[in-house]
Amino acid sequence: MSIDVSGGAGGTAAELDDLDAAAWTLDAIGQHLLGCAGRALATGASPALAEAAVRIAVRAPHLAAAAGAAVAQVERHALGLVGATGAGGEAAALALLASTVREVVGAYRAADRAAVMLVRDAEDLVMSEVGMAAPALLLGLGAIGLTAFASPAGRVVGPAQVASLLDEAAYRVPWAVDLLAGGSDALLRGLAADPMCAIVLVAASYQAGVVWPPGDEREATAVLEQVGAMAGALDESVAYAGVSVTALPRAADLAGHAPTGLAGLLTDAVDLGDPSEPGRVRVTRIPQPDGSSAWVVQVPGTQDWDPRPGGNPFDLSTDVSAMTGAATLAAVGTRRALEQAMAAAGRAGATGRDDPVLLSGHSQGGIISASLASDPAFRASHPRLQIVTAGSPIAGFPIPPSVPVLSLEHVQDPVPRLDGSANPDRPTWTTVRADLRERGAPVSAGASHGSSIYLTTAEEVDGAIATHESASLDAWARGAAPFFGGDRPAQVTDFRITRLPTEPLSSVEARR
Amino acid sequence: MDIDGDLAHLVARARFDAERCRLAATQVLALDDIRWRSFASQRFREQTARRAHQLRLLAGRFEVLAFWLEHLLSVLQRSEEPT
Repeated sequence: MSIDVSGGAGGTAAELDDLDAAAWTLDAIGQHLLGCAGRALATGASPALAEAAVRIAVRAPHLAAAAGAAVAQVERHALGLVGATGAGGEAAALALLASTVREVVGAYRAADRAAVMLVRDAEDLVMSEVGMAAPALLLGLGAIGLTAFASPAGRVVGPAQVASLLDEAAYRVPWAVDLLAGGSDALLRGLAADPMCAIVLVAASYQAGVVWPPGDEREATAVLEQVGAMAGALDESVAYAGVSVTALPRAADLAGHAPTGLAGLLTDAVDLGDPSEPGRVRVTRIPQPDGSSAWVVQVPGTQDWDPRPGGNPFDLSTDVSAMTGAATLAAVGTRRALEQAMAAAGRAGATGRDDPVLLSGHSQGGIISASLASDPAFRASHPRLQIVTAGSPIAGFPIPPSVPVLSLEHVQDPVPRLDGSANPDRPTWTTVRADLRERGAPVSAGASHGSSIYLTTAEEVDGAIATHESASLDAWARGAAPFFGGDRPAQVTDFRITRLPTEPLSSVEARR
Repeated sequence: MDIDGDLAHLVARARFDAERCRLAATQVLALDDIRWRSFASQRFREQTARRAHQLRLLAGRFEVLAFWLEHLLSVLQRSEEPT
């Protein structure tokens, strides 16, 4: 098995939460024991004991000795239960144990935080230096010409081979992407050491509403997006103001089946990536035994890599905008596709508010799912929301713990590393990482991001769920049960999402 | 003063505390089901096992207290019987 499961119900955070709960239980038992000790003390000092002994001696002198012995035994045992070897002492021992458990939990969490800070500081230090050296490096590259580089073996190679070498390098040294992404804010600070870069970056920062210098990866991405916007790219708001959502007629609308499992979701992701039918979002309605419906919304990955936004909202500009936390037309279209499907099924508004909803997507589809899950208004409309992502950098999204998340990632895939940090370890966020080296996959970072390779990983995860190999996956599968079951009838509808331009489409397209 | 009633109340209270200690022992043992961090596992399991044992002993000692209280109550009742 090449998968590694972290977080979720069986993860470290859940274990530490369990230990916290254990400490509270020990404290509560200790409090009860203090009560027991107090009552034992009251029993030993009860006037009823002496009164009973006197009455017995007066009424039946021959029983006086037995009564005296009984009273002495009661007092001895009652007082024995109060002291260090009794309930009082046990209460103290339990309080000490609870305190030790809390200290261990606190130390563990502090060590985790310190490790994260250490890595972050190291990334910032390295990338700041890289940023300061970058202008000189670029000038040097320009001087020797961009068409020829020397390979490690001494051969001269062209740009295509350089790209291939970088692709292989990203596969073999995946942590380098963490370094680049995690230190992107420091990289910009380093670049700003050059006066020309500083002018552009500070202006872009001002335009993006980010206080210079950027404090984290998200702010750095916003600044970079603004640099792109200044060059007429990556900003959909310049030419587009809305989105149209159209249900597509297809045979599968009439009858379909719920996804068989994670593999079913990824099979659909491969289908939605079909370049001949761009801009499709798939909404599947799965009727539930109680008369309600579960909804699976599948969002495609990036389909248009042109930095200048076009009619298809699933493009590079949406990638960059969504990563900064900004609202995107792709997310608006996805939300409206779900609303239209629910309205068509008579589940709009309050009627379908408690219907479970699963947002799922590969790459950008996962980013859009995460951005919707981070939107309080969307969560208010769909409180039983959960998401599944494959190859998506979503660690930085403010998804609350109330939304269960399952993230599939490949160790060699650079895309999920672009957020610069690991996914949160919490009971409702499970991350599955697969090492492709154990599968004999192609040595290519680009190939490791493909939806078809993620389909193989999803099949592997389905297998792990079937054989109960992970407590975290088992817990996730229980929560996601309403969405799956290949033999359950379901209604499948594809929607085409298209950006609506602020001016005639022909002039927008002419500019691209 | 209702001595019989007072003693009966003390007996019931001691039995209640004995039951409470047995329940506490069960609760402490149930903590074994949680996933202790591996590095602390053995240490905490030993501690919880010891505490559960002590709680069961305490339950027994409350039962002994209840027994002597009950004995005193029975002597009191015998003293009230006509000779």
